[in-house]
Amino acid sequence: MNSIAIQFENLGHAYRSGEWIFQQYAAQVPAGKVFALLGPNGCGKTTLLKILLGALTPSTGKCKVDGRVGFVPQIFQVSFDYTALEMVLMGRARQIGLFSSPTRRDREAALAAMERFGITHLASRPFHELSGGQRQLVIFARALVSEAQVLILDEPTSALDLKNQVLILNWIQRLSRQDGLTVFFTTHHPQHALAIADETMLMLEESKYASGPPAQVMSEANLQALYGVEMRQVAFDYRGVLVTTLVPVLVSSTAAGA
Amino acid sequence: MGQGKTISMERDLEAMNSRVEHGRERLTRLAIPLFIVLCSSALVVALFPPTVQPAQTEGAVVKPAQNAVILPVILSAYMTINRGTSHILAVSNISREWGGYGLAGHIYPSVAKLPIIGRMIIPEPEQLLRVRPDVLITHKQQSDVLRKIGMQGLVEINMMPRKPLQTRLMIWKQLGQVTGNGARVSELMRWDAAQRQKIAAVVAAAGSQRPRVLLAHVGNRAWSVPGGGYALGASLEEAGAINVAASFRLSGRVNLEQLLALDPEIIVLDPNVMMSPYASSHDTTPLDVYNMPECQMLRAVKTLRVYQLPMHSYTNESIEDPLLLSWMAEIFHPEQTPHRLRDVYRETYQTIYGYALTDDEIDRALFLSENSRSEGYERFARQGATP
Amino acid sequence: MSLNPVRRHPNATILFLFVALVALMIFSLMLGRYPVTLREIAHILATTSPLHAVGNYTNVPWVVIEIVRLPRILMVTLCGMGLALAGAAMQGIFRNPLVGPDVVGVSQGAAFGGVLAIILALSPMGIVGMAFALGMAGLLMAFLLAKLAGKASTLALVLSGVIIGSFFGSLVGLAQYVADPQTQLPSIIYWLLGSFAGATYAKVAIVATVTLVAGSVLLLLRWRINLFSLREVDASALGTNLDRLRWVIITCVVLIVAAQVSVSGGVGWVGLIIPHAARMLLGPEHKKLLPASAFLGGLYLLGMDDVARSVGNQEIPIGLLTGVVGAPVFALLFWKTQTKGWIDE
Repeated sequence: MNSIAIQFENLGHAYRSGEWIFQQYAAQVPAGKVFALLGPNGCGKTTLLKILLGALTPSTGKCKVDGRVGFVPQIFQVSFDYTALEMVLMGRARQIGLFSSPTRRDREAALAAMERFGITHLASRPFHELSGGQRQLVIFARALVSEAQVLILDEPTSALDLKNQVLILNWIQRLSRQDGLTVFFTTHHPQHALAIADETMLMLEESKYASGPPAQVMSEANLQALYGVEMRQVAFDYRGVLVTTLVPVLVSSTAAGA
Repeated sequence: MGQGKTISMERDLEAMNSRVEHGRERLTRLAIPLFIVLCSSALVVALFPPTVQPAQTEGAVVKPAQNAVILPVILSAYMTINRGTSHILAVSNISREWGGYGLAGHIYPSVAKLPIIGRMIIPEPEQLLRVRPDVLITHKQQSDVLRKIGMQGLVEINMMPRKPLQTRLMIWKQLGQVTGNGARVSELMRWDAAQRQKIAAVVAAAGSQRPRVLLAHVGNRAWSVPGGGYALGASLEEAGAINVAASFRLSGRVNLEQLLALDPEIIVLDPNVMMSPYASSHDTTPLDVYNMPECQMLRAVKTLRVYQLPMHSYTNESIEDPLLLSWMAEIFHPEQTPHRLRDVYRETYQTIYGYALTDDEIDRALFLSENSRSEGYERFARQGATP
Repeated sequence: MSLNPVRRHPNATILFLFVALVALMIFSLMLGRYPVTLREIAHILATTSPLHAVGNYTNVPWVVIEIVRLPRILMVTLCGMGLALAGAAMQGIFRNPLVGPDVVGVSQGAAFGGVLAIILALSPMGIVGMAFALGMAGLLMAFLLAKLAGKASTLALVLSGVIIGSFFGSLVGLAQYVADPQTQLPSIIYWLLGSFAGATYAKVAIVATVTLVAGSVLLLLRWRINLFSLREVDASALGTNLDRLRWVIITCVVLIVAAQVSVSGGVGWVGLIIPHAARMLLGPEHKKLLPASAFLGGLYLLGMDDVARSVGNQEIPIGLLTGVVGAPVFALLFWKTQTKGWIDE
């Protein structure tokens, strides 16, 4: 597929006071690719997400999303103790008529989605009893069952422990490679973007950004400009494959003294 | 390979599960139709309702009541017109409580033993159907459902707010019909008119001497003053006084500052707590008021001109109003009043009720002991007695 | 943790509740202060259809069943179902099990409407009309206030509702002050206490129509109410306009509550505790919760009213009864359910 799933040009948004959060941002996300957005706190990642989702109208420029959108938020709390299956079923809102309820097809689709993520055994468990990783998978299943073509994730790994982080990252890749979904996610972890993204964008300053393939864009210089922290690219051999990752430079005080 | 088989078996199980679930799902879908059926049935019945024949005829009471049920607070009037509590089957609790007030309740002590049927406000159609009255007197607002049950002899009382005179006249006419005593009602109205004329003459003779009077209720050291529409307020004017609270539209509390500003020469205490929702039920007598330190600056207290209104009841105004007016006239214009109040009382009760009031009864009605310190009240004591 | 057995069979439970409700309705025909034998009741039910039936006023058992008890039972059932439905829907869209229909200012507006009608000495139908009109007015004012505040968020609506509700509450107080204490105040107080004793078929028609229409809409939307657990952003990504849905549901709630208050005065707590009880039985999923609430609400209010009109010598105002029973029951339910995490935001 050569179509463009997400496109924004000359995108900019300002606070009501007139102060710009970001301006003149442009990017294109081809369909079926994984796109990672990086930036420090307060640079406008959430604002950009809201614009993508259509919840906010940008002050300047336009944003086009081609295809059905599924959203996986960062934190998820529920007011009532729905079961995991009931949560996943909510994702069928698009398919279920206004005055209807889930049909057998909807239930089967929900169970199938849960099976994909290996969480069918959690179907009758109350959502709030699940671990962070399990919850994330339920929400993934929900996004999947809504037959979304474009998946937008807000910091999908920030609330997870290491094992679940790896789990989710693998899933993001799988959804893109096997199911052909376009995935757009924001993250604080450049090494995650390096590992799975096809394209990356760094929100450097108000009107300055860097975008392109991750290996290219996430140079040590760019990352230092972005985070104000020194980073090093590290490469090692893993079962015959060269794995590159990024590490922030953290020097322990004892080592410095010695 | 084995793994593949397990997975497909799981799939089959799930498909089966799904079908069973779906079957049960159909049951929930029944919920909406069931709800609709229930509501629609109710609607259909409501649109084509059963009715009772013959329908209640508006207002006409054919024969005098033999078994009346009286719900509103009109017992005193009824007993006066009917000369007692005969032909009353049952009354509401509040009706009986207020019926016992005043001298009418005293003369007919059987009022305290009348059977009670419900409270005044909430209609109790089943209770009423059980006792089968031939006349049911009720408030206009509560008669909706009672009309529908085909209660024959339904008499609706319409209490008109702020129109006590019209209300009273209507009630008396209706009661005249109910008791078959229309003639007595006319007679009582005539008596009432005649008495009032006598008072008017006294007042006229008093000339321009109109004292400033405040009608109030004191309970728990709090003063309440009735607003416009309270009949006795108008009576003050009729008895030749100036009602200092004439401009008050609403009944309510007044504080000491207002009392000082109103500056009445005479204060008349009314123990009737129904005059205002803010009146406390603890009655304060003139003797108590004279002992209240905060009231010492009031002119009426300094001159000992605080009086307690004689006993009176509700809706019996045709009899009791002239008595109260005579009392007021004698208090406001002591020199110009030719009559002696005790004689007026005796005469009234003899004529209307055929009842000879004893001196003790008159003493109690006039609250002699409560008024014992008040200026000039000794004129109401019995002749030859030590005040 | 496995779900309790009732929760595993929601559909059977809902059906059972419906059957129990119909059974109670029939049983209630036997209750009342006028003695009617079972045989007489059976005879009346079996031989005559109530539609356009005409009875003689001397046939007292017939009058009692068809004119006194039947409309009252119908009205109470409809009101119970409507209030419970309204309460469940409101708790769903506000994501908070502590809200009830009084939160958007409807009950207080309707109460003031009735009180005003009594002061203006309107007919009983006039009281119904005023209560209805001012109940809707209360809602519109709350809406307007929330819109003026700039957002249609949940919090804004609840705050506006509280403000408008207090405003109307003060007006009721003012009306009580102004009312003639001998002629109007007693009626006002009775009306504020609430009672179904004045049930007539005309009133049943009003409540039936509103409950049928608004209640059906709520039931049809019942699965959608789950989506309020998603945030605006999530829901709009799924193609659902939560805003519009909220207004529609609130309008239905208002219609139901206004109709109920206008025919019977204030009856509280039903919309608050029945959804709680239903949630304890069947879980929070609204597709099952709403029908269960409806039938449970009908059962509860009918039971309460049966007590109000047959226990003791005199009618107990049902508003008092539901208040006295409702508060402790709610406290119990609240305590029991606090073991699960409730509150969002």
